[in-house]
Amino acid sequence: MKILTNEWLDAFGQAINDNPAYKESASWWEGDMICVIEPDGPLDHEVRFLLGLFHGDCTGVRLLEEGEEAEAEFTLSGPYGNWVKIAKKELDTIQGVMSGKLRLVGNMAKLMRATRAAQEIVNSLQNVETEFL
Amino acid sequence: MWYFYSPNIIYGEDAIDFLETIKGTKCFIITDKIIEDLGYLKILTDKLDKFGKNYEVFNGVEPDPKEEIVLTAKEQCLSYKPDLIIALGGGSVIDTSKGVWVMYEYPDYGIDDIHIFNNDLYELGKKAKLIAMPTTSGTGADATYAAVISRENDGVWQKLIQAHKGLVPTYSILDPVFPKGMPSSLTVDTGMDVLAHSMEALVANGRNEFSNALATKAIELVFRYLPIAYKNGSDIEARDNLHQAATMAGLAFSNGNVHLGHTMGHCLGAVFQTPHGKCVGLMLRYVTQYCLNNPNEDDPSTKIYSTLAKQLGWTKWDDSDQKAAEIVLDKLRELYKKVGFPEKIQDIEISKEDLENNLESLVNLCFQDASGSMSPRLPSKADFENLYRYAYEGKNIDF
Repeated sequence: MKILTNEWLDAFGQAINDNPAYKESASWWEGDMICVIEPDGPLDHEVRFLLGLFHGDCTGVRLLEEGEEAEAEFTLSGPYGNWVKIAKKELDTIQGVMSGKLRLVGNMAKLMRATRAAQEIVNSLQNVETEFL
Repeated sequence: MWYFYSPNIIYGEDAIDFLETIKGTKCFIITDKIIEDLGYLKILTDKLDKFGKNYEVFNGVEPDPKEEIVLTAKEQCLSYKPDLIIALGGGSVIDTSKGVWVMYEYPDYGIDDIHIFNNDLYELGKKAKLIAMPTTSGTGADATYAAVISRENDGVWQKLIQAHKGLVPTYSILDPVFPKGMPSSLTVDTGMDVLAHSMEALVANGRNEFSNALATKAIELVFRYLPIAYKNGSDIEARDNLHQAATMAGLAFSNGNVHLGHTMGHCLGAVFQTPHGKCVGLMLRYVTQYCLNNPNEDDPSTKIYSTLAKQLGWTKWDDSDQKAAEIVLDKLRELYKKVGFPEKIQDIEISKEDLENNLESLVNLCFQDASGSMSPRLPSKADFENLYRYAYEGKNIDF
């Protein structure tokens, strides 16, 4: 599946819901996230998607239209190339933010309690057949 | 890209005299009443008097410092306006001081503003330098960029690990005059904390060549000197080496991370109010074995602990990695016996019923402890529960 298509996002959401380790580690979590993939390399325009997360479940993933406002507790932004490194587990999400490769806006204290859950989201991605750009 | 952060380190006998050369005349000393009663505060203030420096003292730090203590000390610090903040004490004092340092420099900040993504904190030190003078040889807090502060959430005390690279103290002064007075039980608990920091840092995600070197040396020093200090607390060579080992281990885990021993130890300590060193030292053996049992062949634990055993001369270089790594577990048990350290949770006055009643809370807390995600093997809920149950009984981990 081609990355960042609706089909791929649906599969990503399903993979999160199919990951029991995510359910266990995020059973307390409440808060949606917007991911912003900035133009870089083969990606020539910005792509944003909303990841709904509640009590260990992914409640939905959908692309945001250009200029569309959406409410989320966190926004994680970065160039396409760095997102690919995260998807391939070549870059840890937290280390990516610490080293400035990704930028995060939101309640950091809450997020620091969710490092395991964040790791399991990335682990879920390993089960999605992904065709990179 | 990776990084290695460290304070300026002054160590050995009479290291305290280095205070004379540090610029600044108004010192805000943060300590606790025990340190004052032991006469350590007087050792420091006598030196400050001699060097012509003024000072004011906050002596209200308590073990596992609560947020309210940090806020109280902050108000006194803001009122005194020091150019040096001196943390004299163990990890609780140093962690409190880090929080006070941040809120002195940024008075509008609260504890939640101390986190790894707050770039303002790189600028710490404009109003005051932070000098850490550890009086115990364990936490390594003098070398780390984390501050553990407790907060009550829905009736459960949770240890918040607030961290940012800017929180590394400006100076760490390691004078063995302070730890030489530690009683043997505290010597052992803190020594086990050093061991847990360094053994976990060796395999944690984030390990690097700098942290590996320091962790390996710290482990060697603990195995050599902890039994000596346990038997003879006034052995200054043992005290000096353990004091240095604590800071080496602090540097190792601060730059390379800790993992499950601390995850599970933090939660055990928070729920049962048990000393940190006791909890993490006790869990160390079980989480080490859990990682060695990892069916995932990408787990580096066996290779790393095998190399450790060979470097420290515990086994032959041509022994298999599996055999050599298991010797590390034998050596741990041997050390526990030599220094009278508890080998299972039931030895630290926690009943089976209390453990079972709190197991769900413990595991929920484990999932919310940032160090847990740094492990080479990530436990499921059932694994966490069984690790606690096995550690309670003292059973070998067979899963």
